[in-house]
Amino acid sequence: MTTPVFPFTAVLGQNELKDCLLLNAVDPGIGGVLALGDRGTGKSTTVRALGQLLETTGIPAPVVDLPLGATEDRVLGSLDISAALADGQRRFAPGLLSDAHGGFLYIDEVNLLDDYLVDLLLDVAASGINRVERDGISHTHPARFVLIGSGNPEEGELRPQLEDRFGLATTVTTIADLSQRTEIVRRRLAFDADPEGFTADYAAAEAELGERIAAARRRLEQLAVPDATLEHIVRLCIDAGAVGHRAEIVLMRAARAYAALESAHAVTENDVSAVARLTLRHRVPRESYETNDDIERRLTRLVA
Amino acid sequence: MITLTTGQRDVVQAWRRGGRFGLLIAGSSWRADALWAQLVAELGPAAIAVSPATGLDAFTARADPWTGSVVPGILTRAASQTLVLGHAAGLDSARAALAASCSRILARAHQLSDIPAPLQPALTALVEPAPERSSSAELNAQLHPRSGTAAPLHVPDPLTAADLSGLIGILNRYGLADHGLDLGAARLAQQIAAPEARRRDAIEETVCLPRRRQDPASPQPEEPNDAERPNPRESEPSPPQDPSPGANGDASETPPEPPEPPETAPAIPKPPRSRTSTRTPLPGRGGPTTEDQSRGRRRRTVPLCAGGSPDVLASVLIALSRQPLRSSAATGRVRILPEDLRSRRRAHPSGRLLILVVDASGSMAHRSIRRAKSIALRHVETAYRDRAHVAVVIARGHTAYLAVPPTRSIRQADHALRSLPTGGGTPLAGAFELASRLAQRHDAAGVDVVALTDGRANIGPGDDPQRDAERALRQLTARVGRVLVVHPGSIRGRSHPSGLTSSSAGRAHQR
Repeated sequence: MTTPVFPFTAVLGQNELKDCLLLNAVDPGIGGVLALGDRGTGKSTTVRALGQLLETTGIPAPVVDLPLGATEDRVLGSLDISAALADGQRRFAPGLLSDAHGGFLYIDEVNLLDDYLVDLLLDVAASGINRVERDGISHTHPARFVLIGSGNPEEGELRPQLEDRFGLATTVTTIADLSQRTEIVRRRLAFDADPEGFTADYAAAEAELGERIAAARRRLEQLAVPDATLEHIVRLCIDAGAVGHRAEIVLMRAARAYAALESAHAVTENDVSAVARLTLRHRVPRESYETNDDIERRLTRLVA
Repeated sequence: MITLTTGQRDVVQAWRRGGRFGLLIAGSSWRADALWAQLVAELGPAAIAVSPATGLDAFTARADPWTGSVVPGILTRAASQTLVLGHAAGLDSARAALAASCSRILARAHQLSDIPAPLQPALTALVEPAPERSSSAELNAQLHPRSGTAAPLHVPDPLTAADLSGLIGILNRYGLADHGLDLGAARLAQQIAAPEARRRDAIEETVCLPRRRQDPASPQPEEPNDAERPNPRESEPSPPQDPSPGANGDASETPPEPPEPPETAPAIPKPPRSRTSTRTPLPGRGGPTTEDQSRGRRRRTVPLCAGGSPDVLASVLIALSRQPLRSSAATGRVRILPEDLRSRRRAHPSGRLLILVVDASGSMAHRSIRRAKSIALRHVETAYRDRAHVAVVIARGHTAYLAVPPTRSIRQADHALRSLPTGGGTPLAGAFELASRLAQRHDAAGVDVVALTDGRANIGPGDDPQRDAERALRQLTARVGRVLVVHPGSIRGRSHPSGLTSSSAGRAHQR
C-alpha cells in the first residue's frame, strides 16, 4: 500500500457504521453491512480504514474493492491469458471473488452496480462457492466473503434480493453539529498535510481497538447463547414480521459478536436490543406509504 | 486577460497554486470559454480527461493481459493530478460518482444544476465570468497571446482554527451541510492569499451563492422569505416536514393531504413487444435491448473486422484452437494472426420510464387528491420493483412543472408526492405537453404515462383550456407507449374524467 489510509479511530461520528463493521470483523458469519446515506459522510473512508486496522492487527481478512466498472471476467476469474500465450496452457486466473475469500468485498455505489454483476454476486453469495464454467475453463473455488455496500439512495434504490444478502443495514447522515463538522475538516487537513505524523498520533488507539477485535474473535466460539435469549430473538423477529429466517440467525450472531466485543460472559437480552435495529431495519415489511422514519419508530417501540 | 470579480480572481489564483478542490467554469459566454481554454492549457499534458466515453474499467487499476503487470487506474493517478471534465453535464451517474471521489477537478458546464447530483458537492467553487461586452484589450490578448502572463503567486497564510470554524459557519448560514463541500471549501480557503475578510467573500461568492440560486424542486423560485427555510435537499437531514401553508404565496393553497391507506391501483395494460432502441437507454428491464461496449451480458463474439474493440480472451481462444495448423506449433510459442482477433458483443435490457402526471389543483377535492396520491405511490412502488425510472409532473397553479426529473430513487418521487399541496388552477395541457417533451428523449415504446386528474382543465395556452388539454393528450398518446388516465374521485377509477372522453381514442387507455 503506497497511499496512506486515514486511521479508523480518527473517523469522527458515524458510530453506527463503525459498530456494524466491527461486529462483522468479529464474526464474518453476520454477512456484511449495507450503508446507505448522504454523500461525503466518510463511508468509504471508514471501510478502507477497517482494512488497514485489520491488516496491522494481523487478522487475515483482506478488504477487496469491487469497482463499478469491473467486468465479469475480473469478478469471477477467467482464462489466464499470459499463461495461454507464453506456453499454450489453459490455466485459471482468479478474480476478485477469489481475492476476497475469507475477507470483505467492498462495493462503493452499490446501487449503481450493473444489474448483471448483481446477479452474479447473488449467485456466488448464496452458495459460498464460485463455479466457473466458461471460455474452456472449468474451475471451482470457495468464495465466502463479507459483503459491504455503500451508496446514496438519491441515485437509485437497491434491489431487494441484494439488500437481504447484507446482514446489517445502517443509515449514514451528514453531521449537523457545527463544531463536529469543523473538527472533521480539521482532521482531514491535518492528515493531508502530514499523513505519517497523523497516523502515528492514532497508533495507540488503533492498536487497542485491534487487540479488542482479536480478543473478541478468540472469545466468540466459547460464548454461550442461553435459551431465554434465543427465544427473545425469535419472538422479536416474529413481532417485527421479518421475512425469512435469515433475520433470526443474523440477529443471534450479531448479538453474540456484540457481547464478545463487550467482553461479556453470556449473551443477554441487552446485547440483542443493541443490535436489533441494525438487523431488522431492511427486513421488516413496509407499505408504500411508510417512510424510513416510520420504520425506525416501529422498531424502537418493538425493541424497547 | 479575462475580466473577473475580485472573489473569482482569488479563486482562480488559488486553483493555479494547485489547490485540491473542484472548480466549475460556468456560463456559455465567450469569456467562460476563454478562461476554460486558458486553465486547461496551463495544466498541460499531466491532466487526466474524463468524458462520457471513458470506459468504466479505466477508473480502477487493472492487470494488463499481455504482460500481467498492473496498470494504475484514473482514480489512483488523479490522487496527485487534475481531473478535467470538459462536458460534465454529459456524464452518467456511475462515471459522475467515480469522478466525484477525486479531489482536484476542473469542470465545464453551463450551470451547476446541469451536472449529475453525485458530482455537485465535489465541484467546490463556481466561476462564471460576467457576460458583458468584451473590451478591446481582451480581444487583443486573444489575438496575440503572450506566454507567461500569469501574475506571481504569493504564499497564502495558513488557515487558523478560528478561520476554519468561521468558514464552516458561512456554509451553514447558507443551509449547506455536506462534509465533502466543507473539506473542498477549506482546501480552497487555504490557497487564497488574501486577508481573512476577502477570503470569506470569495468563498461566499463562488461556493455559497451559486448553490443558493439553484432551487431544483420549487415551482415558484421567487419565494419572498426563504432565508428561514433552507433548501430541503441541501439543508441538514431532518425528518421530512410539510411546508407551512401559504409559504408558496398561493392564497388558495391547502397543505398537503396524506395519501390514503393502500387500495389497488388500476394496472397499466401489458406493454407492446419491445424492439431495439436508438434513443438514450435507461438501465433497468422491460424496455428495448441495447448494445453496449463494456456493460451487460455477453453475447456472441464476432471477427474484429465487423467492428468493436478487440476482446483479448475471445481472440486468444480462437488462436489457441488454430495453433496445430501453424508452423510455429513445434517451437511452443503461440502465434496470433490478425484473422484471430475477435470482438465481443454485449447487450443489456434497457429500462422503462414512468411519468406520473398528478393534478393537484383546487378542483381535486380533499378525498380525490388523497386517493390520487395513494394510486401514484402504488405505481411508484411497482416501478421500483420493475427497476424503472420515475418522473413526476405536477399540474397546479399557473404552469405545470417537473417535480421529479427521471430517477430510479423512489425516495425522491415519494417525498415529492407526499409533500404536495393542493390548490390553484389546472394547467392540464401544459402538463401533458411537459410529459411528451420528457418522453421524446427516450424510446417511445419504453415510456408509460399515468395521469391522475378529474379532467377539469382551466388553464391552457389558448382560449379553450379543455380543448387544449384534449389535444395535448392526443399528441402524448401518439408519442409514448402507454397512457393511462385515472379519475381518482370516482370509485376505483371506473368513470371517465369529464371532458377527456373523446381523447381516449387511439392507444390511450382510460379507467
